Amino acid sequence: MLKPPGIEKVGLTGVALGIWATLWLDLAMLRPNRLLTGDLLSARQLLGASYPFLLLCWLLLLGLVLCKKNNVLLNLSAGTLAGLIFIFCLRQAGQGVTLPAASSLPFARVSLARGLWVLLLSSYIVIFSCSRQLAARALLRLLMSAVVPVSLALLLFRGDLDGLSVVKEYLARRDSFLLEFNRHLVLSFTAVGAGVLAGIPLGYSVFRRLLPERQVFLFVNLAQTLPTLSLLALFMIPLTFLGRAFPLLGKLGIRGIGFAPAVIVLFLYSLLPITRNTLAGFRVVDSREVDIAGAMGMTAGQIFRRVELPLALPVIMSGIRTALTQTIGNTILAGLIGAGGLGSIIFLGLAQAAPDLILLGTLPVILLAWLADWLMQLLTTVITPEGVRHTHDFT
Amino acid sequence: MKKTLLVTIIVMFLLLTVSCGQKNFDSTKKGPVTIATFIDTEGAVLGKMMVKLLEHNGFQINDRTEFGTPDVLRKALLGGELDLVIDYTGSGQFYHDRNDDDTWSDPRKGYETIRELDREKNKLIWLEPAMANNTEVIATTRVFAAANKLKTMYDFADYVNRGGEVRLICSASFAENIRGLAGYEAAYGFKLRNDQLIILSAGNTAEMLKALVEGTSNVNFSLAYGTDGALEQMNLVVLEDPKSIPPVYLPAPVLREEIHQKYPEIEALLAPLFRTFTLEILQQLNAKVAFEGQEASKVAADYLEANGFLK
Repeated sequence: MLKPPGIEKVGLTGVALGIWATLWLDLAMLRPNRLLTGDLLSARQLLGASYPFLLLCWLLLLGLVLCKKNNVLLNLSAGTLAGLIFIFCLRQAGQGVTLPAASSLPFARVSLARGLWVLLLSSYIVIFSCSRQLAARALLRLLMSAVVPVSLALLLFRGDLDGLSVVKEYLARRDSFLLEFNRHLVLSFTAVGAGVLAGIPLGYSVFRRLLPERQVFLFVNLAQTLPTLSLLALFMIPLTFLGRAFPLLGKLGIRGIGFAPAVIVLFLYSLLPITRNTLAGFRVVDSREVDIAGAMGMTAGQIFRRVELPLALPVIMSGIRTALTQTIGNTILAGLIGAGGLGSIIFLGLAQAAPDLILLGTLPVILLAWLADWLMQLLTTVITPEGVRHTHDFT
Repeated sequence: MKKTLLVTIIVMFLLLTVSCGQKNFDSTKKGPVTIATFIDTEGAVLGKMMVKLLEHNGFQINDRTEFGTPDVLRKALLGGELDLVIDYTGSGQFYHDRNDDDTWSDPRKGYETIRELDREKNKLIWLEPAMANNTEVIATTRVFAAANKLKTMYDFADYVNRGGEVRLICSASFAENIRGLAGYEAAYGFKLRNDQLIILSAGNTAEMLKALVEGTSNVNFSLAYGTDGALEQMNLVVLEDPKSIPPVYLPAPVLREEIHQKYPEIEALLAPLFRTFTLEILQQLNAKVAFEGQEASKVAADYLEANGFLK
């Protein structure tokens, strides 16, 4: 396999970003209470006596990145060190409420400032560059990527980060956070599940010319082009009417606000990627392969199950993947019509002018979308027939 | 191997989805009653108090506190999706399109009017309100008020007419309402130019007060609500309004008639609680959540505990 070019530059960029943030950017903000803005803290102010230690770590990392090339041990230590530097700074930020400056502030809390986000980016870049070099060592690579999440979980568990504003917001609404998190999952998966159930037959019918392509895609595209919010508003009126006219439907959740309109809108949005990819998936199947299968004496059903579907499946799966990640993000808007989900936490934060509450709603959405994307990729690799694995590139 | 993994993943997804969607109600308890409130601090505190009080008295509660903006909440209540909410008596002027008379400036009359109208037209029962007027006032910083000798809206009118610098941040509905800023201007005899106003579409004052305290965009006056927490802690003062121009907004529980008839005890449970609320008490409770960052349900539980409601 060819060595990707410019790798050392990537790692160096990461280190440079990190050093820049350490020397010149503010890492955190010490806020006197939940509402007001506070004083910005640089790395020097935040770390106090351990500031020179951090600088030493950066020099060490710089050295490691400069000489690591594709040496396994050096790459492993560089990636681990980059992760630990970020974790160390984050921990210090969490402890910011114990600084002397905070002693006169009974409701003090620390918000993350841009320096810490740059540090996160910097360690991500270094870890990324190191893990490319460890491509052949899957276990070591996994171990290295786990450094940041595992130590983060440890810090949270130990309560080291309880001074962070976003953690305070979480602690103040644990129950409702978990509830909204669940609602978010249910909304997204129900919508995409319905999208799969409807989109795949729809795409296949178009492929078989049972339905006219132009009209089907006009409808599917239209749903995609309309702004989500206006689509939500559009559904409120007929659904309220239905719920009132047929109380049984109303009891089942078919009402103007809440679960039903949110799922319907999210479902319409997930339809386009799934339908389009289903059609494209079946179209990429080489007609010669179908002919050969026919010549071998397979029935139409056998051809579909054993030739067409397996060959089309990877493309269909990537459509579902797009739909899922996109829907997880879109579900935020469900918070606006009383359907709950993490969006309701974000809108609550906007309404109460509490930026860390917004963050508390946003971070899990990012994490969920990323996790769903990763799981779907894994699933796609697993179900792709070995014979076609190298002919498609799904990433 | 491949298939096992696939099946496992799918089964896990399904289990997750199903387990999240399930909700079991205990049939030995009363209810369920769906409680919802506005998406603001007071909504959180008062909502959690109602939830805890009713739960303590054997009700099963579907907790939708901090449900949404006032219009969404009202729609859901009228649609029968919610059973019990908190609303404010002065809102009757919008709900029944009657903002032309003095009804809403009188606490008792305003309450009785909305109670009658909503019972007749919408089958909603307004229970006893708290005597704490969460009305719209104009706030400024203590330092600024002292330096310019501002105490009442008369002083404010003088200050404006002398050509004093004004940057007022407020909501669109306050700026346009004839019982809001327009009413103040007519009653006290002053007129603000458009460039002296910063108008936000939403009505939550947390953002506005933050701008006032931090002097963002030279803001030196802000809309505030009577029960806003932390005015004191943020060194803000409210300009007195001797003519009581804006409507009186008393927070009150609003219950659907159907539920009220089924469980008449709800009224008897909530009335003593709402009788304990004064303007100062609501300000303190709101400050604990909005300013100190305490958990709303903890603040609610502490208050109920301290006042003997959870015996």
